[in-house]
Amino acid sequence: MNGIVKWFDERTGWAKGIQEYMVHPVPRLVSPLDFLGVAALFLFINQAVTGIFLAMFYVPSAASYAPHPSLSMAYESILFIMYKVPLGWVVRDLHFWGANLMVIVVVTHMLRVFYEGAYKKPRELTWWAGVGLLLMTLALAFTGYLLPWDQQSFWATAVGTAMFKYAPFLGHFLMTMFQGGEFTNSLTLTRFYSLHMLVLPAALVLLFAVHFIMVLKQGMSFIEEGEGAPKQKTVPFFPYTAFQMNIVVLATAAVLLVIATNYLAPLVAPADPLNKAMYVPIPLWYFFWVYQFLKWVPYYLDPVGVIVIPAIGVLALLALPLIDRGPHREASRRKPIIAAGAVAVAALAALTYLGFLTVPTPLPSTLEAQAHPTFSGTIEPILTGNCVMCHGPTGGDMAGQDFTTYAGVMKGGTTPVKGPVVIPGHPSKSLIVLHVEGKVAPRMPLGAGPLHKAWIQDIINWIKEGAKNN
Amino acid sequence: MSDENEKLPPGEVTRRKFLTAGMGVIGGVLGLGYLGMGLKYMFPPAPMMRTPWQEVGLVKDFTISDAKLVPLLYQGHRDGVWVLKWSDSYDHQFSGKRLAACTQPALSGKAATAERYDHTNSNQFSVYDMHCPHLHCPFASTGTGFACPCHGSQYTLDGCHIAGPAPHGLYLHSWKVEAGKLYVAGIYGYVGTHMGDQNA
Repeated sequence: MNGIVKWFDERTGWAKGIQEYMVHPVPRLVSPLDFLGVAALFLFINQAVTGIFLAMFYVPSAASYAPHPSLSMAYESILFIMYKVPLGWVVRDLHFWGANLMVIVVVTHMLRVFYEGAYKKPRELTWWAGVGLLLMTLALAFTGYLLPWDQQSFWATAVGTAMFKYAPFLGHFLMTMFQGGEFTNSLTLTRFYSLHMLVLPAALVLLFAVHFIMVLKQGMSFIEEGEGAPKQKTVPFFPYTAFQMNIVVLATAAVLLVIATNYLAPLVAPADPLNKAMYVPIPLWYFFWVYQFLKWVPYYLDPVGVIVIPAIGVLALLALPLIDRGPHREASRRKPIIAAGAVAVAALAALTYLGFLTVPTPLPSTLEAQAHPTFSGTIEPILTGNCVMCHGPTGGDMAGQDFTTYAGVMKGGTTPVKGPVVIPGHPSKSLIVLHVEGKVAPRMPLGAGPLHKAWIQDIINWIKEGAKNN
Repeated sequence: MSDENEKLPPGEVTRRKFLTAGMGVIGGVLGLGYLGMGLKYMFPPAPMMRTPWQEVGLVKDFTISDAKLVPLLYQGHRDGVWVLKWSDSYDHQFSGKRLAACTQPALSGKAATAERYDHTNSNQFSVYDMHCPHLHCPFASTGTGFACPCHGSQYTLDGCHIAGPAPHGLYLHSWKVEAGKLYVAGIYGYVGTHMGDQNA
C-alpha cells in the first residue's frame, strides 16, 4: 500500500497536501445542519448515477412508430423502464425524488449559510459558486421534467418556455431558441435533453469544483471565528467528521429510498400537442409562486413576476456578501439583513401556498356525448388520455391489456380477465364499460377521478354501434 | 526576462504583449466561430419554418358557430387550430382575412369603440391557433367562446380577448377554400383589442 502511495507521490507530489487536508482541524461540536452541503453532494451523485442508467433505455424522441401511433418513443421508453427493466422503477423513482429532494436540500443549505452569515469574507467566492449551483439545480430539474413527454411535463414546459418571451430585448430570440419554434414541440425535447445531459451537469460540476476547493482551502465557517474569539475545541477531519458525513449520507440515502420505493414517480397521459383530452396544465411546485403572481396581475405586469423579481432575487443573493460586510456573524447582530431574508422567504412561501390552493380545476365542461363516435376521432383520444399509462404496450401492459391500438383494445387482457373487454353491440356486457362505471371493482382509471360522463357515454355508444375501427 | 518591459517606453508593443493579444484573438475567433455555427444550427432558415397549406377538412363537415379543434402541422410539428364556420357562403373578396373588431374593452383598459364586423356576409371561417396568446396554454371551447384554464383568459367566438391576463385576442391562421375543402396555413396575426387584426 505504502509503495503505491509513494509511486504516485513521486510523480504528483500530492500526498503531503492530501494528508494535510484529511487531518485539518475542524470544530468538534457541530450541528446536523452543518452537513446539508454533504447531503446535497450525495443527492447530486445519486442523480448522476441513476441518470446514467436511465440514459441506457430512455429515447429522447417525440416521434412514434407504427404499432403505437399515440405514444411517443420517449414516453414508451419511460413505460419500459418502469415496468419491464429489472428495478427500472426504483432507478426512475430515485432520480425523480432525488431531484425534488436536491432542490429542497440546496435551498435549506443556502438558508442555513445565510442565517449563520457564513458568506462573509473570505468566503464570498464559495457563496457565489453556491448561487450558481442553486440555479443549475433548478435548471436541471426544469429540463429533466420535460423528458417523460407526458401531458403534465409537456404543458408545464410550454408555459415555462413561453415565459422567456418577457426577457428584455432577447425575449423572442430566447423563447424560439429553447423551444426550437414558436411553440413547444419535438425539438424542445431534444434541446432539453442535450442541456439536461451535457451542458447543465458540466456547468454544475465546474461550479461545484470551485465551491468545494474553497471550502477545503478555508475550512468550515463557525461563528466564533476571527481575532479575539474563544478558541474552539477541534478534532482532525479524518476520520471524525468524515464519519459523521458518512452517517448523514446514509440517512439521506435512507430517506430517499423510503420515498422512492413508496411513491411512484408520476406519469400521466402521453403528451398530446392538441390536448384533445383537455388536460389542465399544472406548473412545477417550485414555480407555484410565479404561477400565483401571474394570476393576480394584468398581462403588462407579467414580466415583473417572470423576469424582474427572479432577477432581483438572484442579484440580491450575489450582492449579499458585498452588502453585508460587517464583522458580525450572529443573526442577532445582523437584524436588518435577517429580516429582509425572512420577508423574502415568507413571501415566496405564501405565494407558493396560495398557488397550491388554487391549482386549476377543469373548466366547467360543455362536453356532450356523441351519438356516433368513431374510434380514431373519439375513443382513441379518451383511451390515450386516461388509460395507456398502465394499459400500454410492452411496458405498462397491466392485466395484459394494450389500449394503444384498435387491435389491442379488441384483443383484451390476459390476467385476471382472459379475453376481450369490448363486446361489440353489448356495452353492458363489456368489461371496459363496467370498470369505468365502477360497477365492477376496481373503478377505472385506478387512482384517478372517474371518467367524464360524456366520455363513458361515448364508449357505450361506440360499442353499441359495433365497436368499429372507424 | 521579467525586465523586458521595463526597458521599453510605455505604449511600445513588446513580444510578450503581442503574444498575449494573439492568444486572445485566436481564442475569440474560434469562440465566435462555434457560437455562429451553433446559432445557425439551432435556427433553421425561414423556408423550413414556413407552414404550408394543409387540408383540414371538408367545408360541409363544419357546423356553423360550433368551434372544432383540428390537427395541423405547424412549422413541421404536430399542432392544432380551432376552426369556426360562420356561414355556408364564401366571399372571395375577403379570402382568408378577417376584419375583426372587438367591441369589448380589453383588460388593458382601453375602451373599444369600433363596431363589430359583420362576418356573416363576407367571411366564412375564423381559424384560431390553439395556443392562448398569454403563455401558450391550450384553451378550450365553452360553446359561446373560449376559455383558458391556466390563468383564466377568456375570448369571444370572434377571438376577442375579454378577461384574464392575455395581451390580445387569439392568433389567426390564414385559410382558403378550394373545391369544397378548407385549407389552413401559418399564423399571420392576431385579433386586436379594438382596432382590427394586427400582424403578429
